Amino acid sequence: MSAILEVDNLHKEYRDFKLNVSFSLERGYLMGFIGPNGAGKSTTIKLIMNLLKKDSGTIKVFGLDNVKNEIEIKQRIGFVYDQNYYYDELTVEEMKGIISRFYADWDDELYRSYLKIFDLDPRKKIKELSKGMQMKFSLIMALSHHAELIIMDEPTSGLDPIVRRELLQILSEILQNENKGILLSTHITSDLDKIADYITFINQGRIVESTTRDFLLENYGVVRGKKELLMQTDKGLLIGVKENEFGFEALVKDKARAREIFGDKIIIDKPTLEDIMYYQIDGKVV
Amino acid sequence: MDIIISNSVDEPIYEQIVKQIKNLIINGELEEGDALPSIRNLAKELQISVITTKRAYEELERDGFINKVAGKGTFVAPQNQALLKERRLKVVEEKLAEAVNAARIINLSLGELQEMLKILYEEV
Amino acid sequence: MAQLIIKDMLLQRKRLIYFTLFYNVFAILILQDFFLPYLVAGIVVPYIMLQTALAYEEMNKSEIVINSLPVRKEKMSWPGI
Repeated sequence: MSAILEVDNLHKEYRDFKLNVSFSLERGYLMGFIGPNGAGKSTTIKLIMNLLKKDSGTIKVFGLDNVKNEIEIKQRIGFVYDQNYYYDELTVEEMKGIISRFYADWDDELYRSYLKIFDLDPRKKIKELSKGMQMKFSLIMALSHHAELIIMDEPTSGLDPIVRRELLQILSEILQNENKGILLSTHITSDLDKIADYITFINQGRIVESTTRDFLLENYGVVRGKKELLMQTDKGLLIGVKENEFGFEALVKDKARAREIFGDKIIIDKPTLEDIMYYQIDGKVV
Repeated sequence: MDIIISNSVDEPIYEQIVKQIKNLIINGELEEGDALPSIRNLAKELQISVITTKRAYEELERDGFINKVAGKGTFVAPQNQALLKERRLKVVEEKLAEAVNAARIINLSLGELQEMLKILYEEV
Repeated sequence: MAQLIIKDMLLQRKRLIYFTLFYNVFAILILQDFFLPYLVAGIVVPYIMLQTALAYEEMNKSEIVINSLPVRKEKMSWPGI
């Protein structure tokens, strides 16, 4: 069974920014696409959706080329972006009237059931909805045509933690169907700590790593210890070293190795995704 | 069926799940033929990755504790009764060893310990 | 393509209704001529509607959504297809 999304050597160049990425996602999983602002997450997603033209490389969705089979693919993709780009003068029902016409598999009953679940009044104008409700509206549009791949570009920016958790619950439900896949790009990594199966970390246009979240949690660690220990370390072991008055802290990719070298002299904590991102961005490797 | 996992413990989550399910089977709380939740359902409820639950189930299957039946789900495998009994005996043995150690610390004699055991056995 | 036009019209429904009412009153009461106003309207109204539609598009950045929908881009500029 081919991957639901395959990005291979995707190249896009701007005057001061170069994107070069490769990664893939299998059906049945959620991939968190993380990275700091400006890393290239949105650009990558726009390239997948063919909103931007790539310079070179291939993008395959459902095994099909994303440019040659653009319409066929988009029929089966649901998208949720970071802002409300819909016509906010219209009501929910009116907007749905416009969007549903484009999808062959639009399921009105499904749409109504989602309205109920999210407690969304279809008679309200889009501009009258709170930010959280607008995102839920986007989500309903994305889900009501039985989309197989759901692409979300920073869907939780500007939302309160409660709505964010609600969204994650919903995504969990969606993944009960092992034929679907979700690509969720965000810089709010705490959202992914609970739900992501795979993590692809992008920085300055390049993929830093793409692996399972379990692998990261089991092998990476945040190390803290006395500054003198910095002398006796293996080269390349400590990443993103930060020194303060009282000691140092750093990320290690192989915590077993760190334990071997330093023994009891250091504390190794479980890293959050934010830690993994944070220490690798500044990049002082010792 | 209760499965409680901790994020702050060093032990990887999939191992915690494997241990707990093994214990449920050894204790008899899960019996041969009982259905286990699907890997996705378990992942959703515990709010962890489906890759983790998949891994836990794969290990349990490798060790012969559970069976995956195509199209139907995952069930507790028929346990080798002798093996099961041996495992259960081991649990008792471990707990007795704990009691013996605790008794030694406060200088309790063997006779007094046996007396305690007799009383408890009749009470519980 | 039809979908896109319908979308533009739906957006401006209310304006269209008010305008029609107003214009009819204007034509009958003020101009005292029956045919000319409608001839003029036939040219002016589509023009105004088109301009407003374009203005709406600019304001809203809705190209992002439209372009994410399953719509073939070449189809969009050819009328009648």
